[in-house]
Amino acid sequence: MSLIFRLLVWGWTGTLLLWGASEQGTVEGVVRHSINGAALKGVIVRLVPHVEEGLGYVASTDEGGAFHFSDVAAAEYRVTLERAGFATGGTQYLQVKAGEHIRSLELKAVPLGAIEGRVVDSDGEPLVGADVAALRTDWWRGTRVFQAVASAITDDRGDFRLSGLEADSYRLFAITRREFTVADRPGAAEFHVAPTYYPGGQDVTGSAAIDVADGQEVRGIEIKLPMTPAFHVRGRIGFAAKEPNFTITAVRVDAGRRAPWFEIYGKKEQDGTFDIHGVPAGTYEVAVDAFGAQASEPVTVTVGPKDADAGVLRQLLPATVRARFTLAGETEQSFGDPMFMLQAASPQPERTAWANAERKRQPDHGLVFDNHRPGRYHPLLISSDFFVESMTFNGQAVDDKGILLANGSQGELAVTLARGVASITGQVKGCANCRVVAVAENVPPGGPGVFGSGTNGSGGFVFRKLVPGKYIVFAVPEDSSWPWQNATFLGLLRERGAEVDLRAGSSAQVQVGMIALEELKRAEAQIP
Amino acid sequence: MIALAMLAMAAQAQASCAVQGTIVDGVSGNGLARVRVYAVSEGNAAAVLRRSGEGGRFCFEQLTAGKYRVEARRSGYLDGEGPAVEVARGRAMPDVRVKLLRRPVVSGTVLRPDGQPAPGSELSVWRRNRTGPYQVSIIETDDRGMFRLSDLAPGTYYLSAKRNLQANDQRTVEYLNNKGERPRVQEAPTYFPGVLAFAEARPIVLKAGQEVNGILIGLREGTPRRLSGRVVGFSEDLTFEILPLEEGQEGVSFTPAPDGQFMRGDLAPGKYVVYVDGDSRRAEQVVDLTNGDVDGMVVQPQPTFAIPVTVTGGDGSKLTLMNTGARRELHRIDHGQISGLLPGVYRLWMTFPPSWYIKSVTLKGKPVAPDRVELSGAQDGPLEVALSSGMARIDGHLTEATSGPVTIVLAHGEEWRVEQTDLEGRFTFAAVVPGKYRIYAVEGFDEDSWDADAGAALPGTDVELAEREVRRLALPVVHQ
Repeated sequence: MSLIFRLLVWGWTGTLLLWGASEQGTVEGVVRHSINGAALKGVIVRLVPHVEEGLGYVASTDEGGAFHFSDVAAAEYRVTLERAGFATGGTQYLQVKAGEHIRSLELKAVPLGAIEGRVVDSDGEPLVGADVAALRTDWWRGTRVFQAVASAITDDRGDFRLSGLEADSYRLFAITRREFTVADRPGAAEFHVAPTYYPGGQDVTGSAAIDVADGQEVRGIEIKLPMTPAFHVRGRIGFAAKEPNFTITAVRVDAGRRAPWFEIYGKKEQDGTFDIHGVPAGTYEVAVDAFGAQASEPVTVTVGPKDADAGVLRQLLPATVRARFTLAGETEQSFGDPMFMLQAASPQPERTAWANAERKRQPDHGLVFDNHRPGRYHPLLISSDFFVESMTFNGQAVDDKGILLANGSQGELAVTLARGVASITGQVKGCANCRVVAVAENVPPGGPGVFGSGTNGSGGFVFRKLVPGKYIVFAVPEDSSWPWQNATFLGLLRERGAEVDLRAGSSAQVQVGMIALEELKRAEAQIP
Repeated sequence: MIALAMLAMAAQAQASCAVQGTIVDGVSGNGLARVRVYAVSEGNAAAVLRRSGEGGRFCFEQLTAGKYRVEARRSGYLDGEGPAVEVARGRAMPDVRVKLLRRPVVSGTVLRPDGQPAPGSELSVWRRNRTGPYQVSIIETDDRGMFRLSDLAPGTYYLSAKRNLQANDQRTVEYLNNKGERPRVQEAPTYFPGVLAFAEARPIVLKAGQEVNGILIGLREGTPRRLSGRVVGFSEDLTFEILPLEEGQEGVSFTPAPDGQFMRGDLAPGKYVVYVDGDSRRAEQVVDLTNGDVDGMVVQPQPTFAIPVTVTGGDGSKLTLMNTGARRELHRIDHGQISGLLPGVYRLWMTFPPSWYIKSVTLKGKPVAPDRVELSGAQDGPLEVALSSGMARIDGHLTEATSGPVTIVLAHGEEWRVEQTDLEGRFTFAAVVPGKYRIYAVEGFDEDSWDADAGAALPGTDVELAEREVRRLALPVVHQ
């Protein structure tokens, strides 16, 4: 029995029946360095089935960077590249038709950058085992946040290397958790090696950005961690712990947002009290076991010039939300199982998901969000057919602040759906393959607010089944994302977009020009 | 403020010392200056910091009464720890001597079979003792496929590397190359210098301060193995898993076709156990894919049996049986019986409260060894385990003065445990299971070279401990 026949028997029936029924195609091309155009040897090229299951193909480039796939089943594939030091490309799609021979496919491998340096103490001595993080600006519902995108631990020389960096601006942060809190004598003022942003300070706003271009290696960065006054955060855990080893942490709150990389661990005593020591002055969120099922409500404390008392930490109790859906203006309530979620108002994932959270579908197509972590959320519908016409939570209209799930609470969401009946078609001038976004200006809460689309290879695009309302359509370079939900950014660029006012059942046609990367960056830089 | 603190430290250095001593290089014995020396108190969050001066001397004044440990750190050296000291008013303390060893370093690169660097590869560091190899750490290679190990104590090590497939682990996609074959990308763990078996791995002997750079580990590739066959009497209540026999490797679980047919074509060469598990049927069958594919395997779940089990003493204890021919733990204990058993030889594992130990294990009233519980059917029970809290204790001291801590080895057959002497040459083994032991005081103890044979060649002291006995011993020092 051949291998192919075995596969047919044991699981990939659909794909292989297609394979058996159609003529095979071929795909060949070359992989080049995106900066210098040099052919790249040893790149693993994969054709990943668009549906992410079934049969895929793999080849490696030769001395001339060439690759070749024969006997490729007709299907849509995602093309990925793998080579050390290069981005794993995965956004290029390829449609292989029956019997088609695709030649001269040219793929570009984008080299990744790195930042190297050393972490030292106030005497210039290397700090071994310090954690270093590279932070990158991201946007969360239009506000600037920092995300740790790479990390490293210093070696015996205090050296670190943060690698795999895409071209961008980065802030660096270093923290050591293996140094002692010290005092001149027992009971005297305490000091600790302070967690620090490059080039100094404990606030990200005072840090310096390090620009990394494609493939650039930035070297010689020295992060000096000073010895600063250190304080204690003490308190008591107000509930019985089922698991003995849960952690207590103080996470720095920087410009109103948690900085999870700036995390200091504490120690729990047998009697339920805890002590987090070595904490520099600042504001912190103190909580138990943010990752586990037995978490506490976070308590915000200000530390310095004296120790802080976090009081009694109360157990975080799961909330339950029942969502019911109604299709407006139609007697037949046929809308399938809507893809509906609660999107956290905060970008930190550990504060958004309960360990055993469940989203249960109900027989009436309603949803129950069980065991949900308390906090603020934005209800969000992802649908290509419907939009949220209106929504109430416990009888109150939901606005753009979202809903607040209180500790241990139960709530009712009533969601009225309507069919998306408007569309936008258009053309991007001077760009065959670019990204188009439609930014909603006055649609009710419950939708994503920004809709994205690619162009069809000749600059054409279409948005179907949109919510009626006002939109601004922009064209930007491929593979880029921008803070469209930020008012400053949108205000600076709105004249470069095409404004569309969509009424129910209408279809608009627009023509837009692509905004250059530099102009987008300039606008982003002007956001306060 | 920091400068003031440092000035204050300098001024107080003139005062008399509560604890003082010397930091020395562990090889040359020379004093080491500029070492950060910490007195770490049991009750205080903050340690007191001093820096060693000329000749490696340090002094802690104004320590409050209590127990402290002295830790020393300097870049380029492994962290060092001195013996525990107890500061008491009016009590003269002997000098504390802390040895620091220069960090050995091993660095190198892991390469793919085509010679390209293998970033994100899993590099394992191994040592070997009397029972075989054991893993001491795992790190990942960086984006250039490079690694640097600098926190190893001097000793003998082995390295292995394997591709970390998780980053691109598209298990739902089966890839074929241009020849319509599964590509040779299933890189088996490769031991330095490029062999697939630990027995052929080349040891790397690290001495204090030694740098071994330029280690190259070329990952070996092998054709992934295929295992296919049929589960007899398959039903949906059965779970199905293929687990490598070697510890530390992940298995795969999936559901066979309704007629029981199964096939996996992505297994690394090696030995596996095929597990089928249900409420009243189980299978544990070993299959060897070292040298090639195996097709047509018939997996026949067998009816399981249960035996009554009794544990006396040690509230909250947990009993586990492990089939010695497989890898799976079995701890289905309910209503006083352990169920889900198949005929075989089992090893008994127990967790129980501190200070308890297994006093006896019997099967149908007959004593059996905990690591060899042979079961053929329900008629073999009951299994009775008696726990006792009557641990013994050894308090001892050395018969001669030494320049630093000495390792006390308490050996029982192939097993041994160690304690260090304190500043005054005293030692304690708390919670010792009653029985026969041989005990040694070894200066220059080397864990790597210690085994039962090594112990037999040294002068030791035989002791037999009864339940709850407190034995006091005076030991001569063996210099290695």
